[in-house]
Amino acid sequence: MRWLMYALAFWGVLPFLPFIKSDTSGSMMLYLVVHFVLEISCVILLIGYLLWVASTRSRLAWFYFTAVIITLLCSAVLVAKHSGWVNLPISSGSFMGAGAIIEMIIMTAGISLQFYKYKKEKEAILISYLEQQKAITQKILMTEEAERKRIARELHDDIGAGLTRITLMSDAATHKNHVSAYEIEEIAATCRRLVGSMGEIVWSLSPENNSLENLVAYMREELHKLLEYSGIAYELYLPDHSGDTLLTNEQRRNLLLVTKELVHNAVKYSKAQNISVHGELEKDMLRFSVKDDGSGFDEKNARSGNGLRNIRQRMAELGGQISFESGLKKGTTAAYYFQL
Amino acid sequence: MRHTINTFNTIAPIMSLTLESLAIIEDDDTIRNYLAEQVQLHIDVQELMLFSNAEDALAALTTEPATIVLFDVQLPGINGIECMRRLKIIHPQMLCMVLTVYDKPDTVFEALKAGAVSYLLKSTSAEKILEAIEEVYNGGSPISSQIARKVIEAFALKEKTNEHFQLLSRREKEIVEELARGYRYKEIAEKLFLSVDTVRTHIRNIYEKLQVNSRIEALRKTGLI
Repeated sequence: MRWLMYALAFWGVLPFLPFIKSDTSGSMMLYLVVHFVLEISCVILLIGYLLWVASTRSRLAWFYFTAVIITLLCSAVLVAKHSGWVNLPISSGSFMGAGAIIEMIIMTAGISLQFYKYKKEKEAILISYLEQQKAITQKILMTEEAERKRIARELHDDIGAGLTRITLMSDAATHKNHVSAYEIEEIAATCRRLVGSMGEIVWSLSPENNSLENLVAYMREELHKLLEYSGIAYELYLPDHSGDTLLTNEQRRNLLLVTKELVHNAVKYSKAQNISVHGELEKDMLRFSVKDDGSGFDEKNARSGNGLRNIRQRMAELGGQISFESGLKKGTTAAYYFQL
Repeated sequence: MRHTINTFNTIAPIMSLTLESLAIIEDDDTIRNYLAEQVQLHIDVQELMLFSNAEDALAALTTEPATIVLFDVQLPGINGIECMRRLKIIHPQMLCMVLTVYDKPDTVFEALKAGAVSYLLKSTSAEKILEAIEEVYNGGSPISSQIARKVIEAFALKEKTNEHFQLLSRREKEIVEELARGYRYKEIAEKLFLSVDTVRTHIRNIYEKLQVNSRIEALRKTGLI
């Protein structure tokens, strides 16, 4: 649009330039006609443009309006003078010149105003962009802080608890006259479990492990470790091709730990002969179940304690659900799911 | 040098393994002595060499290699992986195992590229450590799904770069992909109609290719090839 304005300005000024100098009335007539045509077409274009700008109701419109009015007035005066309607004691030349100058000034003013408007717009956009960036950075920092707190809590719960047990078991052992190999093996076993926990925490924090596929692979290995020497027949049905589904650190860790805890309970307490673990991805729901054909348990007086409470808490953190179907001697099915 | 320590549990000799020599490079005295004791109790080793740092080990093993060497990764001075790298250049047939505190996949992978064929957590029970030594001697190599994934990545890159690089055979690719999904040797062997031993051999070969590629990469960086 800017270029149209320049073109119009030039177009409008053009007729005022005395480019034909002649004394003969013929060339004078030609000059007049050309002048007239140019002027009229210019006016038409200007009016059109003016109407368009006026529809935006901006201050710019007034500038253009004024410029066009002056052009019209000058043209009208010139035409009147040449056609002899009015006798004005001014020479067309200086009159035309004055008109041209005034028109140029007003056009320039209009263009400058436009530039100014553009600049202000750009600044406003930049400021809003910077504000957006700031908001994003804030959000990232808050998320990082929340994650750090979560990690600290996991370390405290897992590692802290384990170390406390070791301390107490060691203390108990030192106060005895002779220490049984069993007690020391308990300490060693707890230590090994802690090393495993550390490995798990490191795994769950590594960004390259954030796909569901990776979780499934790691879970398969961990469950094998729990089950392969348990003397129980087992099956693992885990989603093999989960595409590009990604999980958050919290989701990975909680799902892994809940599954491991359920399997561990089944191995230790259920006296089952068969255990099966199923996992499925249905659109954006992850559904898992751990089934055993053992002696079942009664949820109320169960060996709930920390284990089950932990499980429920972790599922709650995921915004998911867990339900147990069990009866004495009927085996147990734990079904749990959450939405990604 | 033999220290007497109260053993925590007695393990019945579970293997009939005879080694010419075995070396342990570990700076923590308790761990080194414990390992030494377990090895002596259960493996018939003609010569057991103990080192508390890489420099001593390099000095001794350069001239006289051991059949199997256990490297601690964290050592004062030169670290275990670098030590292994150097010794493998001189004695490529030496079997190297790394001992780590956590099996962090990055560390283990570096060790594998440098020449290890096995890795162990230091906190593993003596029983399992001895089993691992036997496995290594018999040509087997452990692997986890995370390591398998790193292997896949490493070979995926190589396919595009240098013509000297070794590629995985189709069989090896199949095996490593199943491993990356967390399947056990037995499951993979069944699925691919192989024996478990064959799967183990393939894994060992994959590690060796990894080492070769890693060495080629190092040479390429120095501009020699």
